[in-house]
Amino acid sequence: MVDVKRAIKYFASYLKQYWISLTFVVVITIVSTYFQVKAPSYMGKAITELANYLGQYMNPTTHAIASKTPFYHALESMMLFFILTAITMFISSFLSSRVSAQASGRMRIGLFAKLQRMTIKYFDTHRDGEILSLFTSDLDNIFNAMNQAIFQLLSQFALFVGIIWMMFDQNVKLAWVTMASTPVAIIIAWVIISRARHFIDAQQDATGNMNGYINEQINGEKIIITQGLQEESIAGFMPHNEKVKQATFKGQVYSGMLFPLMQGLSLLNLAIVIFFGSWLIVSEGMDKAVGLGLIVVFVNYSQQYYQPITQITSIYNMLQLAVTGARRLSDVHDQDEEINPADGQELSSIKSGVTLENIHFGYTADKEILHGVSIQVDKGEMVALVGPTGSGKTTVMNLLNRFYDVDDGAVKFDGVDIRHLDLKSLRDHVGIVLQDSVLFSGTVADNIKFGAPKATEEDMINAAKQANIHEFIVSLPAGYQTIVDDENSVFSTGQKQLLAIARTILTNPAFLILDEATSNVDTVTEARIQAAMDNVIAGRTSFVIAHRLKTILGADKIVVLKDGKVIEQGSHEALLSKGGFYSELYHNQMVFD
Amino acid sequence: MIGIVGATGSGKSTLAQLIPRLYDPTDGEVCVGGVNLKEVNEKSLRATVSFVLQRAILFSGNISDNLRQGKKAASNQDLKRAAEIAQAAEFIDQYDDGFEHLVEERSANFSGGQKQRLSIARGVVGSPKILILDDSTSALDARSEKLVQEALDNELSGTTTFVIAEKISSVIHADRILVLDGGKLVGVGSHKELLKSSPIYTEIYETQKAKRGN
Repeated sequence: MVDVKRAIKYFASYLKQYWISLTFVVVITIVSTYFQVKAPSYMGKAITELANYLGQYMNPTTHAIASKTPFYHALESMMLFFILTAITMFISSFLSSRVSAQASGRMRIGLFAKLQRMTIKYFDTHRDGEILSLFTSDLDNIFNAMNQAIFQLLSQFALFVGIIWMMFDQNVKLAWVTMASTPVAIIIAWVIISRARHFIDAQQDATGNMNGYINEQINGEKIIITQGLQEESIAGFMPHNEKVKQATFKGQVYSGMLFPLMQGLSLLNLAIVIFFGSWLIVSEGMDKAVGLGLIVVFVNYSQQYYQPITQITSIYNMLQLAVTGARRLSDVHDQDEEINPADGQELSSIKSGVTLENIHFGYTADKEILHGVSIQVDKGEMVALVGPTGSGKTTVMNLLNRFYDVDDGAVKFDGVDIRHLDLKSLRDHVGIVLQDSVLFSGTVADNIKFGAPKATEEDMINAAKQANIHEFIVSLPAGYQTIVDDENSVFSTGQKQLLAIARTILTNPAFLILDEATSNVDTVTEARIQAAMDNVIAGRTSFVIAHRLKTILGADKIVVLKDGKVIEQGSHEALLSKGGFYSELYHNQMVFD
Repeated sequence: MIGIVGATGSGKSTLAQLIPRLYDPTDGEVCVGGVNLKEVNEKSLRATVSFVLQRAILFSGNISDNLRQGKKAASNQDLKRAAEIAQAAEFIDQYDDGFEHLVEERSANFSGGQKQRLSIARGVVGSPKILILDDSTSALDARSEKLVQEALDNELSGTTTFVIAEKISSVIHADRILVLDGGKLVGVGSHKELLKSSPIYTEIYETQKAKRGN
């Protein structure tokens, strides 16, 4: 029930701006229902008039005055009402399709924009397939439900009420007879639905898990091929697929049972109505013509009466999927966003430096990674962070750019806690070159200008020159307009890194973070990068996370991190003469080198 | 041990990817044990050649699931040995559940270096005849890298190892070093021979030595 409430809240938030269209849909639906339920009464009237006419025609005394005109009038009215029903139904379905297309379009925008505001943590803890299924599965289910189910629900409910009203208007006793089997129908529907619901939930979960598995396997395809794990990979897929299959099958069996059962019940009810109707006519001594008309009317109503019950129960699946979808989407909307302080201070440049003050941090509450780390980076300084694998180097970087917030302590830019800085201004002034350089589809120029789309051609080329990638780019047939279609095709790892560096240079950041940016390139390229970086670093405050000691020999200060603690810091010479962990690391590297 | 060196974009990884037949050559042929790869049974090729990628990818499950991808029937002893070669034992031992320790989705609970070590361990668990390390130690500190190489020498002495490296120091002890430049093989030989015969090799070596600063 909580789910349904949340789903309704979610739908309401997106549908409220279409209230004029929606009101129109409701009014048209009511009008349409009126035509629909009124039409059978003219059918009954036509039958009565026809019977009257036949009666008069057969009787020699009234033979002369027998007229078909009342019969034709009733027939005309019946036709008119059926045509009006069709027209109004078309208008209502046209309008509701338009509203659902627009509303789900807005939901899609809302979801995508929300994802762009989420914290890194969300992406670190959710599989791509899971996130993608919000768009491919949940939003689709919602659209289907809105487009068919919700408006179906509205019109069927109106029809239900309309028929009951009309039945009581025509004949109270027969109305009660028609409705007598309702409780049985509802109980059967309810039992079947609650069984089906269980399997529909299972189907959604199983599909989500299967998509996650597919995504992971495809992502690791190279490993699968080189290790010859194709069969194992398929074998691992089987149980996921089996679960989806089972749940889908069972869900469909139960929901598929509903329609024939209700149909059967409706036919049974029809027989009861006809039987009871004729008994009523005979026992109450009703006029033959009127009685015949009444029976025809009630045959019609009793069939229509079951239609809403059957329809509403058969669209229940769709509604259920939509409720689940809406719950998952509103879960996403409830996720933490990156917190941008309301009137955060703007960062114009770095005046004194960046400090980490006694930072405690863990990705999960039970496992602290950094245990009181303090690092001071003065303006214009280059500070190098070194330490063994798993010591927390990448974590420090994640905190400097506010990918995560510290548990205790503070990261400060010019003495201001970054939690009080405007997020955009912080990111604008922090440039990062990550371990994995990601290229986006588009041209080379698009990729370099990614962080500064308004940069001039000249600035872009300068950045490429500084990153020592200009010559390579112009050597390509299409130069800067070369299309980057596959991440791995044209550019090698080193070249991708150079492009990423050019991208960072173009944004002209005041504070630079380099995460092992030079570890994947050959020494010739590395020397180029180093030279370029030396230029970029000059006049900038920078923080380098590296495993290769030689890349950090030029650092103003070296900070040694081990098991989440700063164990040594100082200049290269000072640390060497100290003869501690750094000096051991350094000598090992040199021996190895 | 065969070293493969060359500038970024010279085709080192491409060359290496031909050995496990990730790609077929457009022209010419790749032979393992004298047999053209196109005629080799795929299963036996996979059992013979182990490829450790530059980008370490782990699958959700636990550590032993991941290592056993290298050899399905690996015993616990095999896993332990592989972890020791890859210098992964030191952090695996710290977990209470050891090899049963969970690998989370996106392997978020491991650092870059830990992932690389596990990836190497997966590569060596089946004691392959041919092992290809495609810059697979880039996120390891120098000491660990050295320990991995020593362990490979001692423990997998019968294995032909291809080491693709940016640093000559990583392949300096190789029996033969292949030097690539712009997609062409421009030098083959031991470190000493290449210093005499290959100007490109000598240039790379000198640059690296100069950068070392002492």
